[in-house]
Amino acid sequence: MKTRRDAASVIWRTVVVAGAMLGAPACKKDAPAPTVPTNNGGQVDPNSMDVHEHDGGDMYGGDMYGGGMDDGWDNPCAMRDDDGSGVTGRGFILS
Amino acid sequence: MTSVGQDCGRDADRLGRGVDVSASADGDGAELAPPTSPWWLSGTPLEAEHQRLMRRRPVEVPWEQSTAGRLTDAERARLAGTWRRRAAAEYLAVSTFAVLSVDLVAARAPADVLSLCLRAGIDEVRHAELCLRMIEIYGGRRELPPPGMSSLPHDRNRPKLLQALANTMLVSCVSETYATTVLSATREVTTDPVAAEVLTAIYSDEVMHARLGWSYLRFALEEAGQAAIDAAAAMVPVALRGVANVVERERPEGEVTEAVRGHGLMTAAEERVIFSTCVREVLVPGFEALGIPCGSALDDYGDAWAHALDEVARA
Repeated sequence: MKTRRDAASVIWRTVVVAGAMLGAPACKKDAPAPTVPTNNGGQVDPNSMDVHEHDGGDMYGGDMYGGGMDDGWDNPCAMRDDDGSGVTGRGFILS
Repeated sequence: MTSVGQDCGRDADRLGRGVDVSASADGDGAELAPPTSPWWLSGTPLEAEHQRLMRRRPVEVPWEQSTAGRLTDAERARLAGTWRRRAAAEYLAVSTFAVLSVDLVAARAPADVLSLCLRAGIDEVRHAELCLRMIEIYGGRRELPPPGMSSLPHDRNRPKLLQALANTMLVSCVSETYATTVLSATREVTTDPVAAEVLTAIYSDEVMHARLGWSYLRFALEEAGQAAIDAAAAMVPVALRGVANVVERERPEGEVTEAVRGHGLMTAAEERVIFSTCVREVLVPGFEALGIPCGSALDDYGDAWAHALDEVARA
């Protein structure tokens, strides 16, 4: 049976190292590559994630709503804290 | 809680009408597997296309092999309570990814990030269906998830990329990564074949839901540099606290016996240790490898927090 440490190690490799391409060259050629910390010895083939170059562009441009939406529904993301309890994460309900 | 006994009107009609659960054929005559929770379908021709979407990742759950019949009434009630909460959480996650996709669209996220985020919402529909079926197995009732919509923080004054990054951190990097960790650990103690297969099916999807976040985080860091690091760092304690709120929440009544554990449950004390391990060995190392400072996270969710319930039990 796997231990909790084994489970964390698997998630470290399959999710974090693979997803963030730790130790792999940058998406953009002029950016430095983050290093892989040694805590779990994560070894993942960086080529396993098919990431393409992109040209960046203006990621900050303009107001996406163009000021044209009603105050009452200006952004569905603004629906928060209806009960005043603050942010609640999702996770998975274990018990 | 929505249930047969409490529903009225349309919901009650849907739950009680005895939906045909037999397999149906799609437009090409190909056989479709029976729906997982037919009482949660519209009763319209949309059902066939829905079935095709849900079967994108084949989930062969051996429903007939459930060992729920060997449990006591109290044990089944305990399990029904947890699967009821799971159904509600998975259903809410449908809207979580929908809202996140709005942020990502606003930030002109890469197409692969967008498609996977939208697909994640579909995956969550499938998870909710599976959980509803589990409620029926343990609770003997066909229920629907409670209506509702997820809410995510929003700051309209910040750049769109940073807004998208902040909620990706919350939803995907932290919440979904923790979900994969807890599901992985839970599967290891699950002996009931139905529960094991359901948890495996959900786990398989959550891995990509979590990886989506880490990939977008890497992308955003390269796009926005220090501004992205600052935004991510500010979100770390918020996201960790958000998940901790779930971990610390009150549990359904009933003892978690060894038999109950075999159906995919752990105790609240065990869950604290899993979250603490996830913070220490997965989340913080990952963020720090990307240059994102994590403040007091290791102390906040270290041994003292992980074993707080042990202290209560001893007292």
